[in-house]
Amino acid sequence: MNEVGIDSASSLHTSESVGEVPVLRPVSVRAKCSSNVQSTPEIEKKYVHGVYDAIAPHFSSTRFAKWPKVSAFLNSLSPGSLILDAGCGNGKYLGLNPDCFFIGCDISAALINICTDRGHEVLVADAVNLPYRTGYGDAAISIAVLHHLSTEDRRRKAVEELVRVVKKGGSVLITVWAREQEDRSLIEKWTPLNQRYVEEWIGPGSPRVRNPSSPRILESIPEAEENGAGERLKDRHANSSKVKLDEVMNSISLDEGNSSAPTGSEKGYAEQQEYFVPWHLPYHRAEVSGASAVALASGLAKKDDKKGSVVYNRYYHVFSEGELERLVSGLDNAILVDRFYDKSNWCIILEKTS
Amino acid sequence: MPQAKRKRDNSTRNASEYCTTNQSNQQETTDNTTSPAAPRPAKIPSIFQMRLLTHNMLSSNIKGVANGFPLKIEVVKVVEKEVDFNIDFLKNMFHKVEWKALVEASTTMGYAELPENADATMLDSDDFLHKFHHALLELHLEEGALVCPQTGRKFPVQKGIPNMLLHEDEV
Repeated sequence: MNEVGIDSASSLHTSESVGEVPVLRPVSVRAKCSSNVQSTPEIEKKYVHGVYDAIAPHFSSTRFAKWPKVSAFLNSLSPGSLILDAGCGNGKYLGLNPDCFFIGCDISAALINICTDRGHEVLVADAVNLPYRTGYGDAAISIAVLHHLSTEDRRRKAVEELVRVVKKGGSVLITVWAREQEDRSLIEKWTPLNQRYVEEWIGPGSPRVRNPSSPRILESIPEAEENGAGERLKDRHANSSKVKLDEVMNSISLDEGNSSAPTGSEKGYAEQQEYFVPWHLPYHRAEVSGASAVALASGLAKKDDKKGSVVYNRYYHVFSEGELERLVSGLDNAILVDRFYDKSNWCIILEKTS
Repeated sequence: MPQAKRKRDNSTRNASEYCTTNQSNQQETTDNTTSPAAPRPAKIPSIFQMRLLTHNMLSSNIKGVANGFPLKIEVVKVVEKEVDFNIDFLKNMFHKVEWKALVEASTTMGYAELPENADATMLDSDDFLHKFHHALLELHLEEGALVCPQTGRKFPVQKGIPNMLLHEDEV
């Protein structure tokens, strides 16, 4: 078990949340370190923010279907409510309830520009560190956001922020991609992070490398590496502000090893939660932005001539059943009022109690 | 959508044309530009910039800053846009809004009609409600900055969008 870092835990709270009792829990990042839970890991900068900035117009053009359960939640709110959407993407839920007011934010300026063009009031901000006063919103939503955060501490912090910014009695809807996808064949198209780690930093000649079509890669990651090397890697992570991506990736899988008990008996998919999920940007779209040329040059994106597209990888931590509930179980100022599975997403509704 | 409820549903083209003058009092005309035929609802909304509704919520979250609210406003360009009156919303927001910050911000944005103090009984007054409505929702900061009251750090507001992202050494 890691030590309980009280200093770190208290530093996770902003000055506006002085009334909250910091939740004591194992933390791997030392308070003295400049790199804390709110500082964005390289993997998110490169494989989340960088990608969305590059694909924003195309991504947005494909994001218009509204999930009925999100709509139902928004429509259940009292007329005149102020709804805060943290990680609003292209803003498809902003304004959904015509009797309410919405303010959206996203870390991707490219997506926020799209929201503005659509007439929404938005700002560029980080969902892990919302620049909002405490208790201003009547409700908050986080739709398909938390799975882009690469450590459990950051995911928990984002939840704490959502709760912080709503009033007492206010509700928070959170949805995340589920590891338990309805369409299992979809997962075949994703790249398990460990595999990529192995290929890029150990090399294709390594005996650890699996057949790309086989889902059995996790078996080849020794248990000892998940546990024994963990602290050392985390310390290196914590003590260096510029962490090499391979270390970040490794510590991610280590975090998971420590935090979530295996639920399935089968190895492979059952335990794999860290993925790169491809985004195919058609060539005719890619030419528009110019960002793709940069991405191709830097290796962030690859060409797929067969499909005529530039392929980006987006980082995802897909949630296992019960993980979202565990993530919020330490909150002392909110209770879980509903949980459901909807279209390959785990969803919860919280109510702020104090 | 609240955007749809706003009276002025002009095209984005029109909206930007209206925003070309500094401290403009120009308001968008009431004609509803006919939407182009499209399969999905095709009302083209106006562009909405940062309003005092948002300003009253924003707080500098730089590490070590104890009093990040209210952010000072540096005005380069303000535009006014008429917005539908929503009494439920105003009454709800009245209890959340830090009044002094709203009055100061409103004055900075060129509207000095708000009373210095306000209490809930004033919500019965139409005159008060309309002033509150105007200050909260109809003043838009298109270009300028929000300044952390403690550190002086400027958060830029460009094309009406505040950028509240922190630098690495600020988190």
